[in-house]
Amino acid sequence: MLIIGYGNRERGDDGAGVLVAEQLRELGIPTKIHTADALALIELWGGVEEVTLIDAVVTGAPAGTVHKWDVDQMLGAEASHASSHGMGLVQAIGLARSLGCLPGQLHLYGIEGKRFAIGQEMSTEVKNAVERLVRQIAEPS
Amino acid sequence: MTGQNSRTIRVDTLARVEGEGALYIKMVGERVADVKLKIYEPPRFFEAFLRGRHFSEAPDITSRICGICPIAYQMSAVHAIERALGLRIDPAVRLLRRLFYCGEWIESHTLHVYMLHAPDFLGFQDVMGMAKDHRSVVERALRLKKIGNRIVSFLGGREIHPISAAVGGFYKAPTKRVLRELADDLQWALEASLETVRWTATLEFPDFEQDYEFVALRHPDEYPFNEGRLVSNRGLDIDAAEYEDHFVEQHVKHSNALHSVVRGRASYLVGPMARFNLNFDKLPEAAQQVARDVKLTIPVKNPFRSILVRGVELVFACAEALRVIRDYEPPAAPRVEASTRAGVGQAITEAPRGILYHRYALDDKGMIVTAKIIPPTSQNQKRIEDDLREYAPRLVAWPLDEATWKCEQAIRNYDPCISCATHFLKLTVEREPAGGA
Repeated sequence: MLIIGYGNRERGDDGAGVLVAEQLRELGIPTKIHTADALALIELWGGVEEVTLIDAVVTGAPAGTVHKWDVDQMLGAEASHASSHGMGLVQAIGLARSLGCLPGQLHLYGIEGKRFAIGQEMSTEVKNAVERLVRQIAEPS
Repeated sequence: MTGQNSRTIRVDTLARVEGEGALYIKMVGERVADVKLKIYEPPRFFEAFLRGRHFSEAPDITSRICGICPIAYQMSAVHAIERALGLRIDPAVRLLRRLFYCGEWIESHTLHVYMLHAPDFLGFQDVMGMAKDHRSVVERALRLKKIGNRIVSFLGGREIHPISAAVGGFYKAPTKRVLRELADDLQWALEASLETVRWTATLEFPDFEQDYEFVALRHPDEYPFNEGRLVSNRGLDIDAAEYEDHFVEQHVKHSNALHSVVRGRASYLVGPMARFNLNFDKLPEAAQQVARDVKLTIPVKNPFRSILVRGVELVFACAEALRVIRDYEPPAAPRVEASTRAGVGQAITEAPRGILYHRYALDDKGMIVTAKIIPPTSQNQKRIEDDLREYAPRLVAWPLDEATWKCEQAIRNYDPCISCATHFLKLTVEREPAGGA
């Protein structure tokens, strides 16, 4: 089981996934933090059976909403294109699937963000959502 | 509404450009009335953020400016600060830094050539579509990119790492044996890079040449990474310290970015084509030979053929990495300790997309008083608009969606790193009657 937090901590709510990964580490749960292009995720999860990936998203839902998707939902969802990375997460997942290098199980958490400018502070809604998601992952009910 | 049409190409989200941005082209008949490429300029935030910080923090802080080219930012930062402090680094450290840069070029050029640019030439929406018909090509790209990533991760690119780059050298120097472990991968990567050049040579290129001023570093003995004079094909030949005397940043209304021009002249081109045209004689024989094999001769003036030039630079990066691994002997000390003094230092290094200028002024306690960062994409931005001004009239007969796509492709020729510069890219084309308003 590999947990990856994806995003850019210099861009306000875009840092949500990274913050989740950092807080899980503080609880002693190993995670990886990824800040580069989505394509390199394929390298990160190579050979891993179960992966949980957390990223910031924009779907039009209220800020702080935590979405959970599987691969099929992700590839079918227009909303997921709003992920703010050049080589999109959806493309990386789609590419991995067509090359047969997706993890057996890939769980995707999207935290709805509302502000993404460089140097902006993370919104309160997203900070709260990060805490909720950390608890949920750390203490599965 | 008959007769001459005016039309506007509008791209609100430029796909396959790192980050986001917007393009707006207004045509009246066959005349381009207006071209606006919108790019924001995040380094301004980082320049402010750096003020009041100790110089030792600059490599880490600036590496966060771009997720694709963190090494470039680290390298320009350490070199500029070393000049401010009057530090001379160990030759072994210099070699390691070249290896570091090789890793980043391999990663960045592979991503762009195969994943972002090639789909344009092959008529695919994106690399997902391309992978279905060109599976082995995409697999080669993934493996090649991973090898670049391995070098960068090994020397500590993105996360804090024991070996990470520091002012004066590295925090820790790797052993010779550990570096040798990269050799087999790199030997494969060298072959794959040669194959990349041959493969890109089979693509079809629009017939489009421009009369560019190419600007790149030039070093007496090497294809440039971290050192050299800044030269151009129009007689420029300066030290990094003179950069701001020869280049001017102009504010433009439509973009937060500044447009760079050569003082008293016009736009200029930085990046692979400029390096290749100005430094062909410094490429290793394997890279020169494969360029000749595919009839890529200097000066290359067709920006669409930059995909081939990136391939040649991949060959160089792999050959150079192998040379470093062969020649490397660990330095006596991983880094030279800096004695603090007040001063100003400028440096230019060759990021994958072109020259990256940094200037720092330090006070006598080693705190940063001012920082200036000019990334390659903002230097190319005016040149991209100039290309579009020439290229768009050729697309008048094309349906709007295809014309738009071709304009996006013309922008991707520059591999613009708009995530260094902005969040979203958009393109716009409008039609309206000529001779109207």
